[in-house]
Amino acid sequence: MQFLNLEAKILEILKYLNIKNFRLAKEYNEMPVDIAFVEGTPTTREEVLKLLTIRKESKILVALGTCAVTGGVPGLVNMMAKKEAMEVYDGFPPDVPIDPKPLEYYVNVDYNIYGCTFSKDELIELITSLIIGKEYRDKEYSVCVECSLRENNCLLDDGHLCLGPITRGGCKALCPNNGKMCLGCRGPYEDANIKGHIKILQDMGFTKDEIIESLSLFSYEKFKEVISWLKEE
Amino acid sequence: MGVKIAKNRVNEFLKYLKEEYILYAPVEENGVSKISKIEDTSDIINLPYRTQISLKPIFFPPEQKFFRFEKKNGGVEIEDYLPQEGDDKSIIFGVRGCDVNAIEVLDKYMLDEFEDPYYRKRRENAIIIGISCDYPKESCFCTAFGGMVPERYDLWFTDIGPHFYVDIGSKRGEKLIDDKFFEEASEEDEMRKIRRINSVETKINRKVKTNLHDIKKYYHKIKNRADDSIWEELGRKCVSCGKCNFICPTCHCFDVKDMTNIDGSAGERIRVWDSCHLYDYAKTSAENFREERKARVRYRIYDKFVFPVMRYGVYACTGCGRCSEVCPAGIDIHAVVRRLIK
Repeated sequence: MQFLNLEAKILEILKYLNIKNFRLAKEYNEMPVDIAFVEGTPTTREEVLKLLTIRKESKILVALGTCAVTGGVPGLVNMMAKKEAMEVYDGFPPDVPIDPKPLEYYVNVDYNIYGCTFSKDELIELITSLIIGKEYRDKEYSVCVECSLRENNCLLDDGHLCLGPITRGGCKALCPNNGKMCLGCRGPYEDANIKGHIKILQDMGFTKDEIIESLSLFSYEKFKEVISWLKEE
Repeated sequence: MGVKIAKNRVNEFLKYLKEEYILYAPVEENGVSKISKIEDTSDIINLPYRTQISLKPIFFPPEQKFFRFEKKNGGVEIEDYLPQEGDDKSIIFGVRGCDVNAIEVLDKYMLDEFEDPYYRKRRENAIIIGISCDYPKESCFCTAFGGMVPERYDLWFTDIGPHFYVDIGSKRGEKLIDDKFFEEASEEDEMRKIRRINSVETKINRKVKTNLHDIKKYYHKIKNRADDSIWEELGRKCVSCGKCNFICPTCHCFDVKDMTNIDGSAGERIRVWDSCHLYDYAKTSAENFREERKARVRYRIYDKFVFPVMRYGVYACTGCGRCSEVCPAGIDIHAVVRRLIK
């Protein structure tokens, strides 16, 4: 949907790209395509098959938004016993569910656009790179970088459970700019010192449970190992 | 002999300066103290010590646009933003010794071997009016480098009771001394000034107990600890947030980016601060030569106490303690150095 929120920009993009398939905005949809943007993550067998078809029928596959990139909030269900999760629908889930995983678990993903909701600026950046043939690179630094460039007061200093130091930058520190701690919606970046940050949070007085809850909100699938390590610590 | 100014006349003096110069002074914005452009002199805050943000962003902003380019008629048209940088003279009031020393170090990087015209334009016309601290912040350790009064300044204020004693450090500074505000200082005033500075420096020293004055000796000592286990230990703690780099008054690394429109036919070239703690800082087409975190932590300490000594004969640390203050992992540069020279 953020695509439609590009508003003025979308007209410019349409000069270079044709929209062949967009279920939320078009009546007639076709495949194959050059670039497929996939939002969300499969939670049923059918959806997995659909994802495999999309991969086969597209040259470039982009995981769009947190659910697609890290498994996101749906991934939280992997923390609990299946039986417990089924209770949500009175024991009658709409379909036989499977564990929500990041798209990369099923198919090769060419590019990731992070965030919940993902950043429109980064989407434009990717599209621009694809059009002019420039390399698009993931940000390999944390939210703290963009936050301190804006001379913000550190929310960790104020005693908030902020995930800035381990969360991938690129959002221009939207939440900390507005005095809200980083919830980690963009997931961890490759170089994140997660154990180091857990130590900082523990020294600040946060309990294991509080830290685990905060880590799993958006990226349980990515933090799984560190969470089980923390539980045993 | 120096001069002095009554404390209740300082505000008038600043107003008078503001008529001719752009005035910068300490203010507080969103709970963060920094040195900013002053519209109204009543916004100026009186701090007993340094501001949280240093002078660096005034001369070397976090994001700076260099020029705009556009493909036109088969060529590329470039609009340089350098002429838009004003030639206005500015006065920076209320600067602390650590920051004045730091800006001198930054000058070596930006004006000496490689010249940065954008930096030069802002820096050249800036007059510095510094002030002695009343007491140190928790993280301060300027006395390890020689104390809180720098070697070079235009004017230097020191609190001596109802007056500020004013040292004149340059011709530019001397021109600002107007009889309307300043009066001749007596020998007794000068003694008071010396006693005052000594008493504050003693206070800092009691806590710091480190002396790095012998640059050659300590630079060798630190250089020889490259394989120490301390780096492993710090590498585990550090979360590579880059805050120490951005807050540091002498850190000067940057990245240059082209931000274009969708088809790349027009755009802007911008410079953004970079940090040596980040994973992709040392990434090249061949390899990442500081992939390990401990190597990055070591690099920053070395780029304060070893490499600048080799290049320019000075430390690139002035003891302001800002990096220790902001580090979420509690890495204290002063404690690290103390361990290294043991």
